Amino acid sequence: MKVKGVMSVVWVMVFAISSISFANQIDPKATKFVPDDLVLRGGLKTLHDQYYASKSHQEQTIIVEMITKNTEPLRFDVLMDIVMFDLRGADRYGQSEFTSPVARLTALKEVAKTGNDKYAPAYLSIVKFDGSVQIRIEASRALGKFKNDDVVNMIINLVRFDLNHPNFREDNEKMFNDNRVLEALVQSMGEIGNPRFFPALLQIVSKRNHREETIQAAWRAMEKLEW
Amino acid sequence: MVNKALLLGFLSVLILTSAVYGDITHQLPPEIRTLYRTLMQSENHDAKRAAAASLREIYEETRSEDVIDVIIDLMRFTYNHNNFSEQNQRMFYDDMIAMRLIEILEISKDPRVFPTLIRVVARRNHTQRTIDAAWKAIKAIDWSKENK
Repeated sequence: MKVKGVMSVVWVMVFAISSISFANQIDPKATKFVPDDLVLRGGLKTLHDQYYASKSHQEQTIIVEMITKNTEPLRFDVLMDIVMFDLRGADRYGQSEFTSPVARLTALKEVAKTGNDKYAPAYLSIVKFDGSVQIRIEASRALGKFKNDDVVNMIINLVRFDLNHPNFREDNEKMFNDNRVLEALVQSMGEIGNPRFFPALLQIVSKRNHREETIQAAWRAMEKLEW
Repeated sequence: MVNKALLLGFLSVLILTSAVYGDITHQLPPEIRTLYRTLMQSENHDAKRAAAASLREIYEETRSEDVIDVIIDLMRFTYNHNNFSEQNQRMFYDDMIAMRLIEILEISKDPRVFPTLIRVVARRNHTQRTIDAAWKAIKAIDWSKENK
């Protein structure tokens, strides 16, 4: 009798877990579901509220795509809020199940197009703390548009300390992922072209505790420095 | 002992479900309540189709918010089949009713219907025709009515 009770509890749990994972499966074409001719001249508040009310990753992805088709200037702040939400809500490993990674990536790409430097500190936080490698890489690329000293200093710190592993090993997942992010950041350093990046880039090519792709990217970035 | 525990658990789930989902019928005018019950409980497709048409007529005449509330409720609980299949006759007929209900939502242009419509387009447990109707209704929403 007791075994039966335990079994039914187990089945309920299995069903609940499978329902959650089913709800969070994203059709890769989800962003294509939104009609091309959709233009939203309003509705930002409703879209924002519905995004946070929704537990379906697919729904979140479509809502973000709809926000990108909104015409209100505030849409970029709403999108950035969506990108940053998971960062704040993530555990110490940067993982969170609440928001869709695809939705966040779509939001970040849209905000990055603006080139507005008010979002630079957010990009730096993402590179440093976010759980999703893809989102960190996208934020690293977005930083290539900013030439001000604060951003340059922060990038140097990231390269020299946060993303630098003296005992780098490709079979270590964290180190490998950090290095992919570093490669994107190094490409942005080349685009910014500030000569103050030289020591950090030299460190990458000389210590060779990086992937070959990252070392090659550092050489190319050095060529682009504006002396 | 286990049976008692199971029974208690089942009862508490029932109580919780009714508390969460509630029952909107007691607030409705009699004619809308009758249509709502037909759309919710009837096994007869023609009766449901007629009820949907009557609901549309009432809405076009009165612009009653009760009609919208009823449709939101129906779309959420009655015309939302998780394992939707066009091959299943009942689901297919229900989908035709869902499309008619969505057309009423389109007339309303009410931003409150957005969560209902986004569920239709995102979950894709309807025919493409119904999903297209939902997108049409989303495009028709008058966002100036949105609560800022």
